[in-house]
Amino acid sequence: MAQIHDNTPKYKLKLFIAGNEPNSIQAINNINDILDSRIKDRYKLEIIDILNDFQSAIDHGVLVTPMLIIIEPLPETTIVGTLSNAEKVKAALRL
Amino acid sequence: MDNICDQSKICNDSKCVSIQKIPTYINGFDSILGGGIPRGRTTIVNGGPGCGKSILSMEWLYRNALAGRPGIFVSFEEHPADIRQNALTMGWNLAALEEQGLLFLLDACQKSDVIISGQFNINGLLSIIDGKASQMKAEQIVLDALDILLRLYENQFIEQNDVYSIHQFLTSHSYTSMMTIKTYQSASLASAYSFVDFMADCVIHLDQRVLEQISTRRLRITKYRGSGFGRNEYPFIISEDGCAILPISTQGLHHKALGETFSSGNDRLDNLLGGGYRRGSTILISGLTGAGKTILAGTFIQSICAKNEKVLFIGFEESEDAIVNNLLSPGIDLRPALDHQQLIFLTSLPEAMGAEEHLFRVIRCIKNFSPRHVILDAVSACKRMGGEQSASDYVIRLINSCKENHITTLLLNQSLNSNQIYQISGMEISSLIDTAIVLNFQESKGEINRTLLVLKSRGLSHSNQYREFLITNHGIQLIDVYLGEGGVLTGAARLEKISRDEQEQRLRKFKIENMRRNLVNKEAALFAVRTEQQSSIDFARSQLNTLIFEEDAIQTGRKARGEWRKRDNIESL
Repeated sequence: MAQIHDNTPKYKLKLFIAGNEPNSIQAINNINDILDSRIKDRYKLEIIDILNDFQSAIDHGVLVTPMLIIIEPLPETTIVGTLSNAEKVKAALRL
Repeated sequence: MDNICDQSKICNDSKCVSIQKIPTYINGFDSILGGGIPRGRTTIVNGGPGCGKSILSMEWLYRNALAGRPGIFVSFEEHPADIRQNALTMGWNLAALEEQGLLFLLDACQKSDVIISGQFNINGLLSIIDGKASQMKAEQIVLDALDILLRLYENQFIEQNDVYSIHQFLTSHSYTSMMTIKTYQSASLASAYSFVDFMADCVIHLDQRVLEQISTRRLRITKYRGSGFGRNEYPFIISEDGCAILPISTQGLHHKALGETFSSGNDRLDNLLGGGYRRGSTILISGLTGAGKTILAGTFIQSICAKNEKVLFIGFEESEDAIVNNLLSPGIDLRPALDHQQLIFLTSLPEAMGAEEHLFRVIRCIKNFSPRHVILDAVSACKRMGGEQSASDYVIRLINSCKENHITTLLLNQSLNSNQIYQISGMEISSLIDTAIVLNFQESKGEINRTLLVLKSRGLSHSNQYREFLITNHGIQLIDVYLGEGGVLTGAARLEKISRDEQEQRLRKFKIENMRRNLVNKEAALFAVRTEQQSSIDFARSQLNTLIFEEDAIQTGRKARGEWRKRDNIESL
């Protein structure tokens, strides 16, 4: 399985949310929809609740939530908001 | 009763302050804030670019951290590395405080390429602050350049909402916070942030303006819920070790009463002044250029330094070398005083910096050197610090500061023409002046002579007469001027008048003597006549006596003969 996708780029993402507020839930749903519809099994999404882990927020400069950081492929890209505009997110993922 | 006191009374007495305050430890700032900024509440610092918002808020945090109160600095504009470096130029070692857990610099600079997709809110920042603050036990938070973060927002309503949620969050956690926000010139942007001022409990407005090519920073507290505060605009400076505000007068007058008199360096002048200068007083020596102001000051310095008292000379007109050298010719040698560290010079060009920075330098110098006397040469030059207003600010605050510390201030002032001498300085400082000496020129018969008049000598009975003021090789000399029918005369005219007067006096004396002699002669003549007549009377009297005697003799002889005849008759009987 892993060998099949060796030549295709891997996606590594971090989604920062603040608890279970509506924005957080919308963002999680939106990103899952986009990823699952286009790059299923080729991504690694980490969801971080900064209410539990403020140090990660400091490390990544997360001032507003929700915030999605695309770590790979480079260059690192930051998207803020509920990710409701799927076209912008796809463009950022270069899909 | 206590409540009434708390609410209605605006005073600086800590007993009457109802809300708790966190001191800023910034020079002079706490006194206009009435103790500090409100504890557990939000303070807004606004102002245009470069007026010192970040430094002011950082200094508050830094000084509190030094006092053991940890704080968090959230910077939306500058990176922590830059902040640390900038702070070092003022001698603030932020890194050391960070190591001790007393300070945390949060890098909240936005990445430039952020993509916005959908709604978001400020919870990230709030949870960082919450987490870090409880970790450090910090209660002081600075949000520097909050407006930068707000740029992310496309919708003004949501932006305002989030600013309120920040405010709500900070106050509900009882953080004492300072937010700095830029003010914009354009009306649309200015109104966009005006709501912030309504939200905050304390609003401090900073601005920087250029007056006559000299820039000055000013600070004003526009709002302070639940507390009294100094309502004026206060000049402030950013010096080598931080911000400093030098209120003109925040809490009224604390001047000490004038002290004992001491010599001005010249006995005659002491007499004129009614004993000399008074300790802690303000003396103004006013006069045209070349009237001898500096020489009079030099005389004073020399005499006071000989008594081992320290003098600070603030010079705006001449360099130290020039002053010392020029005073050598009238026989005033300041070099020993300089060598013994009894006299120091603080010379600079008035244009070199704004009035606040000048004042701050002087006050720091006074603090370090602690002189008992300050000479300012010259008040008139202070106008070059940026106009009349700055000059009078500078002079008034210098005088106040000296009076509070019981320092004698000797102000030299150059008046432009001789009519101006009575309005003392052109500035409204006359009431602060305790002793005023006016040096002037008297022109007569092709020469110019210096005169000195004591216009005012508070609390001492002083002479109201002009004196001629001579500058000799051995210092100054005061000579009585000629006061007679011709008015005040000096110089050659005085001498001439004196000699003419003497001549006239001799003439009058001669006439009197003449008359007296005449009278004596007359008396003598009278005496002679009298004597002659007396002698003729005497002669007549003596002749009369002779006749009477002869007559007597005749009568006596006849009587005797008669008796003899009677005896004959008896014998014959």
